[in-house]
Amino acid sequence: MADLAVAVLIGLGGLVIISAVSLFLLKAVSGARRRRTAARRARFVDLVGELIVRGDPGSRNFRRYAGDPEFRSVVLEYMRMLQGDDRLRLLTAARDMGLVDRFLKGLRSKDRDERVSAVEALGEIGDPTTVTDLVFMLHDIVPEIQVQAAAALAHIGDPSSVRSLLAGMEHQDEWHAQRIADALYSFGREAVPEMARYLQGTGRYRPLIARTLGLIGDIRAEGSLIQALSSSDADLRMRAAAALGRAGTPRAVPSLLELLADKQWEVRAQAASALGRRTDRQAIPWLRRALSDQSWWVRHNAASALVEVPGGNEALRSSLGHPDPYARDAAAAVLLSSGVAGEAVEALRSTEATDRLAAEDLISSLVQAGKAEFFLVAGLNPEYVDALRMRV
Amino acid sequence: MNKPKILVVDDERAVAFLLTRALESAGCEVTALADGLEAFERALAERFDVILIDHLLPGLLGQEVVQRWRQAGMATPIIIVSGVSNEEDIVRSLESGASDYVRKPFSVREIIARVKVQIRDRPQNG
Repeated sequence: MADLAVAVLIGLGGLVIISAVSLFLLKAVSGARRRRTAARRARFVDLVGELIVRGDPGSRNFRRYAGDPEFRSVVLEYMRMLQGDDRLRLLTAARDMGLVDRFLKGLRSKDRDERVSAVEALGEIGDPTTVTDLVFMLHDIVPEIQVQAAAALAHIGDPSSVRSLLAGMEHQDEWHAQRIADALYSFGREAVPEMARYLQGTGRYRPLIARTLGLIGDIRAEGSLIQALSSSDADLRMRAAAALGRAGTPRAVPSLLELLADKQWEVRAQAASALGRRTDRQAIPWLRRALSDQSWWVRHNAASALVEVPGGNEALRSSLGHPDPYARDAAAAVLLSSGVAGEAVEALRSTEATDRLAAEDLISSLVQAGKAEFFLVAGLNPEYVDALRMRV
Repeated sequence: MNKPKILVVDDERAVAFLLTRALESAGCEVTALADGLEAFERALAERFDVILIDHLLPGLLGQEVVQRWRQAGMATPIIIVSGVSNEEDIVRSLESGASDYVRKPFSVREIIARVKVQIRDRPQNG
């Protein structure tokens, strides 16, 4: 029995020793490999760096390194670091070294990861001659690769690819379509004419494009955005209204005013906000009417918009006497939150009698609209506030 | 005439190598370091005409190094080279005592021109 226990212990000990030696060898081998990779990378950093500084056209000599992932990674690192002539020189060198061809070949790989890294790399290299190949990748079977291709095309910035990006959006789910819209946003003004044309069609993602056009903020899209306000798609009407708020001109105001009567409250609310951003005086009576809208959001946005429009504050103050209690409440809430009421409290200490009287009138109206608490917190005497409540 | 002495502080080997070689080609004598603390001590012990320092250094931010140099009374022109390019960061870097700020990606020619401007204006900088 004892012999057996000793034999088991010896066996276990041997096993531990073998494991420890194996682990040690494994670590030694992987450490040596890491050191070799680091040394190779350092050599490539020096070689490519030297090439950039010297502007040496002899980069064809580097073709033999094009197959080395470390070399490719170093070239891409320099690409990310540089701009202007230095970057252009490196781009020419990358072509001469056969790197661009190698990544183009990677696009046709059966391996998904290889295609992903090839698309990413071509995006970073930004070679305009690769646009057609990247457009082709917008039809890759993997949605992630399509999105990467869109980002790469945006980085290159050739406007001829915008139409393909828009077409590529159509068969995407919303998440991936949003990523392509992000790429279109990166194109900036160059993408606007094609996106404005898309808006006039029947594309599935017109609301997303309307939003993106608003973010880019180019006046050339205004006509298409105004036209989109009369679409049967409420989401599109809403996004187009928001975009016109950001990037519209006085030309958009009449259409936005009409939208205050839209059957969807979300659209009316967005139209009210957009009118606030457009700051056009002709919107004042319309926004004042919208203070009686059945939706709280529309009333709130209309009141907030009145604060933005020149002369709108007066309309808001006079709305404190509105026969509709909801309109009174919306006006009072925004006068409080926008700081107008706070300014009135300050104005009570003014040396000008007319300023003091105007402030007292406003505070009295707000107190009568049920906002006495605000002024008590602001430090006004409770008896004074009570007196204002009773004032006719 | 003595060569201008430049200190390059960047933990990215590629950036440090490129700046070093480009400045050497422009006739400068360059010392390259990767560590913020080491750079701090070196620049106090040795006179440099211009310092180029990365914003994101391991351990100590470029901005903090600059601040410490200024607190120690060092008047050498300092250019921060950074991949972080938001307005607040640039303002904070300049307020911490940097003389100039270059965003990555950069142009080598532009950096050399900026270094030359700092060398040219050095007497006015004190």
